[in-house]
This record gives sequence, C-alpha cells and structure tokens, in this order.
Amino acid sequence: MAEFLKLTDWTWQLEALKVTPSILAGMNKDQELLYRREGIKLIAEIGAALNCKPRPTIGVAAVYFHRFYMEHSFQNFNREITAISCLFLAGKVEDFPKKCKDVCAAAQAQWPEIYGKYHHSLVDEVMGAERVLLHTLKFDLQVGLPYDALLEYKTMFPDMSREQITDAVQIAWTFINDSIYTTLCITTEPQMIAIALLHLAFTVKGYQPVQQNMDPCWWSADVSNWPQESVDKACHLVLDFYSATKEHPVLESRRLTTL
Amino acid sequence: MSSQPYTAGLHQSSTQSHRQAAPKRPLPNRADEPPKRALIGQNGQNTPSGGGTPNSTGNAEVDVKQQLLNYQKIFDHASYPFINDVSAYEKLSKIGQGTFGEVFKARCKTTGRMVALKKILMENEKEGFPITALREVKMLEQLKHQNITDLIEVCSAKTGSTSTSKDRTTFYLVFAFCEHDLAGLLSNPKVRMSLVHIKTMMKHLITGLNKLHRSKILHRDMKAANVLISKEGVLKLADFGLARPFVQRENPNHPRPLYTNRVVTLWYRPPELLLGDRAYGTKIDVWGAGCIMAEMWTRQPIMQGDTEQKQLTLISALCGSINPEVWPNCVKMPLYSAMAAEPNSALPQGKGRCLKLKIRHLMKFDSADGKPQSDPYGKKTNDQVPSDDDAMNLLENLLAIDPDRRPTADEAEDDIWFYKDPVPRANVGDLMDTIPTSQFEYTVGKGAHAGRGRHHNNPQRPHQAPRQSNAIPAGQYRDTIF
Repeated sequence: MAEFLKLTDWTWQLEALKVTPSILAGMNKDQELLYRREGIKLIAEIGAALNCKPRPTIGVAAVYFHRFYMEHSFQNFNREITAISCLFLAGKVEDFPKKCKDVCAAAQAQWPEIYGKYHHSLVDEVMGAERVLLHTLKFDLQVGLPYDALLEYKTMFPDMSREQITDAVQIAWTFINDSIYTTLCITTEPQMIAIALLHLAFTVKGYQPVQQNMDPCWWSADVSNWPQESVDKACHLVLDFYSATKEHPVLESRRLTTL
Repeated sequence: MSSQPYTAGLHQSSTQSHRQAAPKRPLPNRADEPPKRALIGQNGQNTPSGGGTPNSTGNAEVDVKQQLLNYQKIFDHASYPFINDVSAYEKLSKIGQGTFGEVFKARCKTTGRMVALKKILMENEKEGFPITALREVKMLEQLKHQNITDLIEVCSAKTGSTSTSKDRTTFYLVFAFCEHDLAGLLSNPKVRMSLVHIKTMMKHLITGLNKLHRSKILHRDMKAANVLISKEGVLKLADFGLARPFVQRENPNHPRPLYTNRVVTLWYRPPELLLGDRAYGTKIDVWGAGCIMAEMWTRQPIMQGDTEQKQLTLISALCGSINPEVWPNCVKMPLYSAMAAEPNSALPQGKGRCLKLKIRHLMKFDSADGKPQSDPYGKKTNDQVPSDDDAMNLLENLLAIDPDRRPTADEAEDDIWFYKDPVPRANVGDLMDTIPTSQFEYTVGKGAHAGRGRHHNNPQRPHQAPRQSNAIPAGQYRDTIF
C-alpha cells in the first residue's frame, strides 16, 4: 500500500481504495468490495450466533478485517479464515473472549457450505491466521468505534425535541451497525463516521438539527473544514451498500463468490 | 459490560438477519421513507459499489489441502514488514520470569538502547495469543506515563521449522530497560535511603497508580518486585499481566461486575480480597501501595503470610481486628460470617491497631547533617531525630481495613506529606548512582548473583497469586518483622 495515501496510521485517502493489494494482484474494485462485504457478513453472522454485539466485538472485528486487506490481498489470504480470526481476536481484545473451537464450531454450523471443507483443521488455520493478523495490525489493537461519539451528540441539539433526537440517534446507530460492510472505517475517523451518519439520519427523517439561520454544518465545532459534500459522500457509501444488497443480499447463495 | 443503550432490535438490522428472512430491509422500521432527498441526486460522482455480478461458477471444489498448503507457504515465507524481528536486539542475559514467560535483558543493535524482552509463551496456548498478553499490550498503549513501564514495541521471532503450524512464531514485548526493581533495592542493606528518597519514590508510585486508575485500569498485582526504577531514578509501575480494565459504577444501585479474587500476591493482598470480595475496586491497589510504603522503612514485606488465613491473622495483628466497627461493610463479604464463626478464627477479635507503634519509630527525618536515618535492618533507631508524623498518617490511611476509608490514588497524590519538607524531587538519580549493579530481585536470590542480598534466610517471595496453590510451601514461613 502506497504510504503517501495514508492519512493516519489506519486511515487512507479514498484513492488508496483503487490500489489495494487485491487490486494490484488483479482484482477489480467492485469485486474487492463484494469480497469485503462477504467477509464482514461472516463476521456479523458468526458473531451474532456467539452472542457478540456490534458494539464492540463485531465492530472491532470488522475494522481489523478492513485494515488487514489494505495490507494483504484476498488472493493470498482467504477471507473466510481472516474473518474468523478477526472475530476471535476482537473477542479477546474487547474482553468478551470466545473459545477458538467455539468460534470455529459456530462458523461450521452456520456456514457449512463455506467452512465444512476445513473439517478439524479450522482451529489451526485460525490460530495461524491470528498471528499474521497481529503482525499486520502491528499490535495496534485499540480501535475506536463511532458509537461513543454518536452518544455524545445526543445532548448537543438544544433546538430539537427529545423524541426527535432520540429517534435520529437510534437510526444513526443502525447506520453505524451497517456501515461495517463498507470501507468507511478505513477512510474516515470514528467521530466523523458518527457525524456523517447522524447527518444521514436527520436527512432521512427530515429533522432540522439547528435553526434556519445557523450554520447547517453543525459539526464544524468538532471537525472544521469538513464540507457538506464530503459528509454526503460518506453517507453515500452506506446508501450504496443498501442499494447494492437490496437486489443481491450478501452471501445469498450461501457460498462465497469466486472470481 | 459495555452498556448497550438501545434496544436489541435496533442493533440487529443487518447483523442478525436470518437465512430465511426476506430480502433485507434497507432501513429500520421507523424510517418509513426511503433515504432520498438532498443526499441522493449527486449520485453521478459516486461509483455505486454495486451488487457485483457474482461470478457464480459455484464453489469449484478447490483442493482444500492445496489451499491450506499455499496458505502455510505464505505464512512461512512472509517477510513480515509490519513489526520488527527480535533479531534487531542482542540478548544479553535472562533477568526474570514474568507472568507468562521469561524476561531478557537485551541491546538494540542499531541504537544501543537497553531493553527488557518479555517472551510470550505460546506453546501451550489453546487460545492463540494469550488474552493476558493482549490486555497488557492494549493497556500499555493507553498508558503512556513516566511512572509506568514503557512498552516500546512488540517483536516476533520465528522458531524452528516444525512441521505443524503451531509454535512457529514467538512474540516479545519490548520494554525500556530499568536497572533496578524496588524489592531488590530494598533488600540490599548497602542501599541507604534518606526520607527524601522514600518520599520521591512514593510520589512516583502514587502518581503512576493514579494515572492507571484514571485510565480505568486495576493493576491487581502491586508489590515491590513489580516496581521498577530506571537508572535515572524514576519509578515505573510494571507487570500488567494481571491488570484489567474496570467499569466505574455510575449508579450505586447497579450491580457491580464481578472479578476473580485470586489476584494480588498474598503478602500484598487486602482484607476484602482475602474475605472473598469479587466486586472490588481501585482500593485494592491502594492497600498494595500502603504495603510498599511501609516496606520502604522495614526493608522487607511487612506481612508475610503463608496461607490466606495466616495473612488475615497478620493483618488483624498489625492493623487491628476486622469487624463491623472498623468496617461496616465487612459483613457483606462472602467469607466474613463463616470465618468469624469459626472457633479458631482467622479473624481474631480484640486486637488493637499497632501499625503506628511498629513503624513510626522507623520513619525518621534525616538528621541535621543530612545523613539518612533509615536503617536497612529496620531495628535500630536514633531517638535524637524526630519521626515524620505526616508519613505515618498517610500510611495509616493507605492501610485502612475498610476499603472505603482508604484514599483514592488521586487523594493520596495530594497528601499533605508530599508538600512538606523535604519535598519530593524529580527523581532519585543520586541514590541510583550509589548502587553499582543491577538489583533485580531475580538475580538476588538465584543465578549468578546467588547468595547476595537479603540478610538471613528470608523466604522466597510468593509469585503471582493465580499460579500458586497456597503462596509459599509450609515450613518456609518466617515471621521476620513483627
């Protein structure tokens, strides 16, 4: 990954998504995004079967997954194995540890079409992949999620009714849950994700967060120089996910897509 | 543990959609209108991520074995550009045994910087990278502070090429090297500490602990051996192998989360843990800080029980009987009633508090000529020199039987003692200069430096609580101090 496209240690410029390791190894962009969604779907569903919550375990696992494939290609590293090891590691890091064999058993029970072929070797695979994952993440395991920032905004709109802001925050919460399927977390800081998706919630519901005569970019006190267009762009990523999966739900065929 | 403020239904929009479920609804029920409006309309510039036309040639039965072999190959030959290889360091000697592996002294080949390499044992791990080590890494990343041990990086080494996928890499935590640990320093009678040294070290200790608690982390293994001192004379809290984050209870009516009470080395374990408390908090570390403070003068652990019962008896003997009078909530402790009812109870009643009597006379001000009056043997006293009553006061508070009466680390950091003469200095570098060799406790009792150090035959310090059945083997116990 080209270093100069990095914004921070773990966020990249949008252009970086055009030159990911997978694309450099011959994949096209849409294929890669589909592969990412499939990996995340596995994380989310296996996580749910293990009683993991989107906040924090599944959210953190998803961030690990997206970061991993900014450094490695899907061609070299199976997404189904990486997905489990992300979930397994996130569980340990977030203090909701699940036994490796339980995670693997859940995976095989939920997705026999995908994990059945590994039989008993799955645990060893996941252990091996965990080490690669730890290397790749450079042990930088502390991941901030947008939820905390979102909750802080709950009290920051004096011009809105309590019902309205609660409603908007709940919708934004759901958007955040679903944003893990997109590449938002590798281009945008958690707080900015919270802002963008709360903005989306306001827009969807037609709520007026601030009075007419005030700056419509209500976030500018926290994140300056972030124009509305960029915020909208972030929202579109999530909306694109919804429209893309409306026709073709992720892993509808119960099998991973192959090239 | 983390609060989930919204109803479950909302979290699950897509994360829990079920197999048979109808095509996923893009938005939660409440948002009954699709998200059009301003946001849509600028569609042009956005490449829709698209459903991607799944190339559904089916899952051509790939030879699984081949696939695994490929994976393995990549794994074996990857050059790992991501974290350093441990060969960047030259191992010099083994200096100790941590909670989950050996510790080596080493030198960075490029910078010459001295480091401590803590090896993380993976051999017997059924659960991959140990969660304790993960916690330690994660917490230390958060805890950058001059009084907390400094994690420089995590390194890896490839071990011999075995045929299985296990045991291929070993990880090392790389810490800035500290010349000394407090236990080793205190056990060396040649080290003469003046009051200002002690006060400076206590200030560092409490400041580090306060940083820890403000970061919502419990150390859970406070003891002199886990306090390191750099050669510049700065104290560092170390060994976060048992540490864990805690949740602050905002609403006192909420049940507190329960933790294991098999923590803290026996000699430093507070009464609430010995009585089976599992809803403890930061005050367990404060008790440990109190034990360490007393040790500054006594030069060895003040209460060296060999069983939990004996430890409680020693606490009662020194700090007074444990009962609802001094500690109203003690009746809520899981083991209190049963223990108090026993005929030969580990909770003897009618004992007065004699902490002051035993220690105050050791807490001397430095004499007029600046000579330290602290006596490494903790026996002789100079009656000509007055005792430091502020130090005694702080110690009394740190070692309060009732955890609620112990000060928080934040309160202790502001104790009047630290503002009175002699005021703490930036470091105890001058003290370090008087000590020629490294004083790691490990090297005191064992290894090349065997036979040096502690006077008489002190029992070996018990190691981590969870790893031992009952502290030290019977027969080794000696009540050396009180």
